[in-house]
Amino acid sequence: MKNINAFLAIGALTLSVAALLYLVDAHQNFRNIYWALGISLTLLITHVTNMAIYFKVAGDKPYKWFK
Amino acid sequence: MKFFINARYLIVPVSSLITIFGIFLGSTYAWTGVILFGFYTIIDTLTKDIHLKAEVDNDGNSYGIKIFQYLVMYVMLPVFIAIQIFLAWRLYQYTSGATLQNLSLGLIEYQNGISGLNLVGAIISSGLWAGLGIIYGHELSHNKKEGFFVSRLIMALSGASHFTYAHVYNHHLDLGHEDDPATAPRGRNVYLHTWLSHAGQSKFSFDMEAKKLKNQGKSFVNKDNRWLLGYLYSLPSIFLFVWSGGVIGLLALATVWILSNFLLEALNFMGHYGLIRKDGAVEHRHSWDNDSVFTSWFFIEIGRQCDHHVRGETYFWELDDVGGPNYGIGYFSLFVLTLYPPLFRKFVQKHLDNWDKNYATEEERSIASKFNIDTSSLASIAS
Repeated sequence: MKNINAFLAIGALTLSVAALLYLVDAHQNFRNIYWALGISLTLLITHVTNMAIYFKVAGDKPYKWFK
Repeated sequence: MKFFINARYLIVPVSSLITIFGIFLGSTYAWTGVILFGFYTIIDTLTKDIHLKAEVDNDGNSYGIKIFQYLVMYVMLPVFIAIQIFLAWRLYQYTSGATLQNLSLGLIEYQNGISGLNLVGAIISSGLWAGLGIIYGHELSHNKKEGFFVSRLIMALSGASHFTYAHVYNHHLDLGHEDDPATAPRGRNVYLHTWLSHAGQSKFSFDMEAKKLKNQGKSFVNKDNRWLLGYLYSLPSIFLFVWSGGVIGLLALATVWILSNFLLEALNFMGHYGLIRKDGAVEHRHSWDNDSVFTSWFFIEIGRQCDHHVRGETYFWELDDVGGPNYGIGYFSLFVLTLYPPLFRKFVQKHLDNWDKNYATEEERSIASKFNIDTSSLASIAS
């Protein structure tokens, strides 16, 4: 259940960032170097935040054998 | 003899270069990496009964040439970068709508532009060879000097730079114990293991840095945070794929990362599935050996897990058969079995039974029995 909650939270954040990038026309400007750098940084921060969210929501050690 | 023993470990470097050349040539050649993977699976299966010992000279010294093997491993970093650059070039052509036409570069004829289907081939080829190349990231993670940093960079190309710390300070110390995310318990399938192990190792690195920075009185978001730095090392790859292919480029990068991490975690899965250690020192019996001849040469002896986990800082060319638990087949063949979990579990059960009977201590057998009860109850529910 904790894993499902974690993935729901990750999905929500990822979709929000994707929608934001779409609204600012990132998908049309990605060939501009500065846009590409900004998009990449945004995606990297999203990924890192998603991992942190997973650690927080899924619990200390979700890979434990016996729960 | 010396030349052969050193040259036999060049299968992955040469195959990686052939894969890059295939992506460069374009058209159906973009699938070269996939075809090579299939071809090697057949070779591995056909040669599964050939097992060799580590060769040494009359004085007992290994034939391995350290400077040569390290040079190869370091050179693999630019080779992996080249795989991503050539794939990005194809993504750029595809998303720019480049016309398909045959061009020449000297005597070499290649196809400019690429179809959607062949782009898929190039992406899968890149993912497979980025994943197989992770063996160098693994070997260099055991180096205390610059090799450790090269390992971090190699792993960052697959978004898994945390592996370098977690492998040495978590996996090797907690092997066979539920504190080790890379040790798969009985009943877990390779797909679930891939995520749990990947996230678990990242969590280890995350916790390690959080504790260190707290002790130093620094904030978590800090240039000294090696967990964050590891992800930052992946920024050039993300930039390359975003710039060259936009949304399609991002999907391509996600595919490459998922495939390469899947292969990495499949190796962890196959190396320790179902084995149990109750405290005490790590012994040969806490790993599965996969030392058929092709697996040994291709994976630079990474299959000699039993010896590797007891002598973690021993160079791969010096690792030997130590009479530990052995599946009897190579990694390629076993990998195919893991893809279909019921088949894998059926195959591995007799080996686990043998381990429980002949290798496990009483305490380890006691833990194993909990899995056996769980498995039978799951089976009764399923039926």
